[in-house]
Amino acid sequence: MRRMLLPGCAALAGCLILPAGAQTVSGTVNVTGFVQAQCGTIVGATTFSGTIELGQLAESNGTLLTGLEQSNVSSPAGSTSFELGCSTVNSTVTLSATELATSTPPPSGAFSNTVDYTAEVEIAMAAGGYTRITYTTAPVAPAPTVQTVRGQFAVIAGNFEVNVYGLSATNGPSSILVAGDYTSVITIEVATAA
Amino acid sequence: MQKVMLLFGSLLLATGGPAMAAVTAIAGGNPSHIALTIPVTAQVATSCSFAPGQAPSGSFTNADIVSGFINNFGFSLLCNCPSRVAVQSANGGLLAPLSAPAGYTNLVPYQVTLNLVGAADVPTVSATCSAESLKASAAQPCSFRGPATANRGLQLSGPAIETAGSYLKVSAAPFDGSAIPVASNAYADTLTVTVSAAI
Repeated sequence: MRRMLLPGCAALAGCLILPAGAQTVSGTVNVTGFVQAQCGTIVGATTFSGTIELGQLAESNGTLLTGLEQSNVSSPAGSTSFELGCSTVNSTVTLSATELATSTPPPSGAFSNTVDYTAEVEIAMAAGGYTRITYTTAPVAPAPTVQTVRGQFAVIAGNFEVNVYGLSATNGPSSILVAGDYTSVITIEVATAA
Repeated sequence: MQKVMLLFGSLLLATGGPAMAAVTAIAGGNPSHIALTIPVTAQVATSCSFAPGQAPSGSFTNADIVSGFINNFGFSLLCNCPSRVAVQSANGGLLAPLSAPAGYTNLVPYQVTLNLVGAADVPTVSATCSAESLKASAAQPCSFRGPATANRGLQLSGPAIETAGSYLKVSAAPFDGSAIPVASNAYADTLTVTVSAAI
């Protein structure tokens, strides 16, 4: 472009054609975040439930299977597992269960239509080892077991294993189990803890 | 179904989890905790038989056909559910292995009574039928003609656990039929007793 300068404007024209001097400015941007104290299923997991199917309960003579009576923490009658995680170091686990029962009433004390058992939650810990929580059912339901778990759960599949063992017919080992479908529910609550 | 054979005298009795969506619980939030419910399920199959060593069995060898007779065969049930017991007669009466001329008979009738005792609070039941109506080919069969099934036989409405008192009774009043029984010491019948769960 051709520039035309008037003589009286030389000084001004000189200002216009000079490049501006470089300036440096600085600022600070802070970024903060947080992780809520929370518990949940592991990313990618879509379900966290299961059913423990114990199958046939009775011997051929009608009494509770000896193998179920003698089942224990090392050799449970039934199990299921799932994966949970909490963002806090500690958590609270609450465990309860109902008796295994069928709706047909027993005709006498020589029969049973309910079976008690111990439910156990075995939690694999990030630091190694396990935390175990148990609850044993009874005709008059005991208060739920509430336990603070110190340390974080191991981030592995099946870090929560639920076991059932030590079954006993309500009216004694020699009682006859009435025929029918028997059901029970184990309830586990997991919450963050300080 | 269990079958036991009985032999009596000249009567031969043969009794013969739903999946849940992922949940995150936040401290102080709603929900504040994760609640998992795990169903525990099991079954006790129906089981019904005669108690070990207490099945109806034996024989009654001195049935006096002319004067009448009576004899009980005791047994116990071991059932964790309602049951049905049924009886089947081989001959439909006491049958002699002889031909019977006109005016005589080689088949003598008798009665069969079934009495079932269950656990406490289970009502005892009893019924009587003629041996004739217990025969497989009977035109008018007895309500407890065997073999027992879930729907056939005398029903005990509840479980039984080796409770004493159940019996099978064979009996006959003094013979008063129009035909004369042929002489024989070999009148015989076989009753087959069976038990089945009623559900």
